[in-house]
Amino acid sequence: MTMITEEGVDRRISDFRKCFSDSNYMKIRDMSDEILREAVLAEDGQLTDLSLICYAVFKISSKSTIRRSENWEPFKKEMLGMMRRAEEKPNTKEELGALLQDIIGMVSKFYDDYGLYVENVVHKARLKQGLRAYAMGLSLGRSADMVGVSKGELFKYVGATKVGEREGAPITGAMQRLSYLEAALGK
Amino acid sequence: MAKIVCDSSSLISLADSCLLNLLPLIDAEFVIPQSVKREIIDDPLNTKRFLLNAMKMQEMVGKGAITVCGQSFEKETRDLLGLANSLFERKGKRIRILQEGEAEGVACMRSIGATLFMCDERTMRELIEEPSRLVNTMQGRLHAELSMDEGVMNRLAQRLSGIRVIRSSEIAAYAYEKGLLTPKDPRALEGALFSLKFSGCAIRNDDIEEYRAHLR
Repeated sequence: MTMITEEGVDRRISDFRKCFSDSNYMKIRDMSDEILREAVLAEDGQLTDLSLICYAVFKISSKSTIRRSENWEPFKKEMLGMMRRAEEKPNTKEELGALLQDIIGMVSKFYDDYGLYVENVVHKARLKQGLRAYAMGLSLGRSADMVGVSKGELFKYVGATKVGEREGAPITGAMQRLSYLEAALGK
Repeated sequence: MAKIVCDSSSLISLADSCLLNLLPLIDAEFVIPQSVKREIIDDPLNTKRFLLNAMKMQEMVGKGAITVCGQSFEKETRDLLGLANSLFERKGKRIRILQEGEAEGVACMRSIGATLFMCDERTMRELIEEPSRLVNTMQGRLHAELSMDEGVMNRLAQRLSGIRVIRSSEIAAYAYEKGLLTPKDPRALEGALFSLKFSGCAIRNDDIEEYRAHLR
């Protein structure tokens, strides 16, 4: 059993609850990025989970059809209740972790019931945050492990972005790399 | 015969782009360690979405175009992982950047005497070729001041020295050059390179231009 000693996760949960309560969804999107940075630096799985929740909730809230539906307010109320429990109740990291998992499950179920796409919004959040972790400099495997997706799936997602094209001159040119192969194969 | 150790990313790109069939045509031994086999074959065989690619790779192993290395590289992998994951730190906390499977690829190279490492993902490549660039990227993206342990960096550089990194795009370019890529049309090379790029291979547009200009 690990007691919660850091204020980081707690503070972030409070920030998130406040933004969600105020319907400040763009701020929640920004928070998903900031929290992921903290998660990478602190190597904290609960911050990663919270960043996934932020991104998934932002994505759901960006769909006006969902926001205008009769299911939105009950979802919001339940979500806020769970966030309050996450703020107040847990004494240990394990308890908080379980609560964050429950919240992820709830968001996922809501999207399964009322979402528009086959791909679940939580899965989309995993890919998006995995991509961001990769862009921050973690390896593909480490990024995939961190957010809980397969390397293959994350790599496909990377391919649809410019993340592979890092700024600055290439370290080794294409023809130079080809010459390595030619030399090894005896041209 | 030249030995080329492959990481998962390069084989995933080739499979996604329907270019895996180039491997048996090239006179080299493409080797993967156990962890890569797990990532590209064993695990995806249990999924619906990646089942086909996993079966294609399994077929390549069956045909002998890809060799699965039976040895264990536990100690070397652990050492490499330890070095890479203690290279950068912030406020005394180390930043874990690499995963076991990725370190095992390099460990495998050292043990079997290969010099070429096929890797499509960017971070591993930068770590091998220019780790100082990686620290700049990380600082910029993480909005944080990081410190790099010079001692660790030197030991890592020693371990990684002599490794030459190629990507799946070099396999496509070589195959085109040797007339192995069909149809035999310069546009097929361009198409193959863009397909690899969209499958995740970290190849820039100017790399593709460079190939276009030289391999007409």
